[in-house]
Amino acid sequence: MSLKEEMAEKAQFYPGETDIAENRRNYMNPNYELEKLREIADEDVVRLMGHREPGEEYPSVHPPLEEMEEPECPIRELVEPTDGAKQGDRIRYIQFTDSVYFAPIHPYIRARMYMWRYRGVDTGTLSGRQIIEVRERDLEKIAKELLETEIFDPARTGVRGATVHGHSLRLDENGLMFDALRRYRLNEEKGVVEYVKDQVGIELDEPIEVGAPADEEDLKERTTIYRIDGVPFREDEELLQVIQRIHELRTLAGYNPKEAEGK
Amino acid sequence: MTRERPRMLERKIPEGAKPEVQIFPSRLLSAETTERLLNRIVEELEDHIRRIVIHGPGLPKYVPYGPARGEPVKHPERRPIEVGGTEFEMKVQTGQIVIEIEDEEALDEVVAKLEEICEEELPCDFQIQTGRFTKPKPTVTDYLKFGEKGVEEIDDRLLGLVEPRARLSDRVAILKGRKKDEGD
Repeated sequence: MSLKEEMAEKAQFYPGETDIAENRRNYMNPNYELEKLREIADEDVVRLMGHREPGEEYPSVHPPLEEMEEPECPIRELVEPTDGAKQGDRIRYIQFTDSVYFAPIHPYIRARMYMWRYRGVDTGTLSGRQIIEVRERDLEKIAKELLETEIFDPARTGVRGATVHGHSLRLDENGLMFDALRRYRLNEEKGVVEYVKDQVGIELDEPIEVGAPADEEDLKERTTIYRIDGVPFREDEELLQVIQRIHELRTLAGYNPKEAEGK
Repeated sequence: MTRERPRMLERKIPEGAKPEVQIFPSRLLSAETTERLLNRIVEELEDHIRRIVIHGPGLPKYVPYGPARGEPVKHPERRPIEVGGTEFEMKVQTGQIVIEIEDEEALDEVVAKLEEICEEELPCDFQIQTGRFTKPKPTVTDYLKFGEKGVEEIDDRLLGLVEPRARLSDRVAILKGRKKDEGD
């Protein structure tokens, strides 16, 4: 084993013994392949985000990097730019709202997952929504993965650019998360959810189908949310130990760093 | 068949105030269910009800902010419903229904009846609580809206119903010939 390999630490991603902790680890781990549950056409992903028309050229904010004279910089030599950065794309975003009712993933874990899995992203966590900002070309690839795989559920996850309210509200009668702008509806004949507006609430010419909502049991298996009516976090001994240790160290170090020594 | 339901979070009723019953369903109700439920409540408990308040998340008419600001939302749940022969527009999606009861002695009877109605009309589980959920005395907003004299003169069922920025006529419906009010 080379020195470099020996020194490299193995990422543990997240503590915990429960299925919830396992899901959190899986979603964060870039070597774990997210299970694909539905097919959404590239064009539909573009329409859903509403940043450009499908087929339209990518607007740019600077010439391609190749044509630019960049200053000499060791970091620039070290880091390979992403596709979008090479082409000088604009920075664009997609934002998700995750219901507290067993959504497959939730904002904090999304943030950690994005940072582990994707390059060149800027993400922001808020109580009820999670935004990811990235070069347009890269964004489309990322958004497609986020929408097609197991971390998305048509009923409990919403693509919402603005007016995101709903993550902590009771669900509608038909099981969909409340949306004041009603971007999506349940097509009862087909049993699938379809978006009739893009992420900011502008009406689409044609609805975009995003598949059928998963049933409650399935969601409880896939979720990353500890809940009293699912798996309560107090049942996870290991997780509690880690959290309590961090809490103790932070408190001691904040109060009197000497106290934290050797702990 | 009625299930055993604990009357959770029983709240104290302030002295001199009328009691209220709150229906708290485990899902947000559609306009259709709300209409059906309210009609049954008004029909079967008319003599006991002073007023009904519908609470819930608001359904905006136009997109409030973002790039689509000003576009009509066209939410299918924001529509007129008819209760006891009076039509009014639902501007919220029903989360809670608070019913003020005229006579305290009839409280148990009303709760039993409401449980029966909810059992039949609601597609989901629910809780029924008794106590006081709205303000029994005039609020600062009421004084600002109606003035000191107005508050004394106005029907006290209209007090404490409306937010500072909303218009009373937009939010309150008076059921015909019954002198009962609905507000959200």
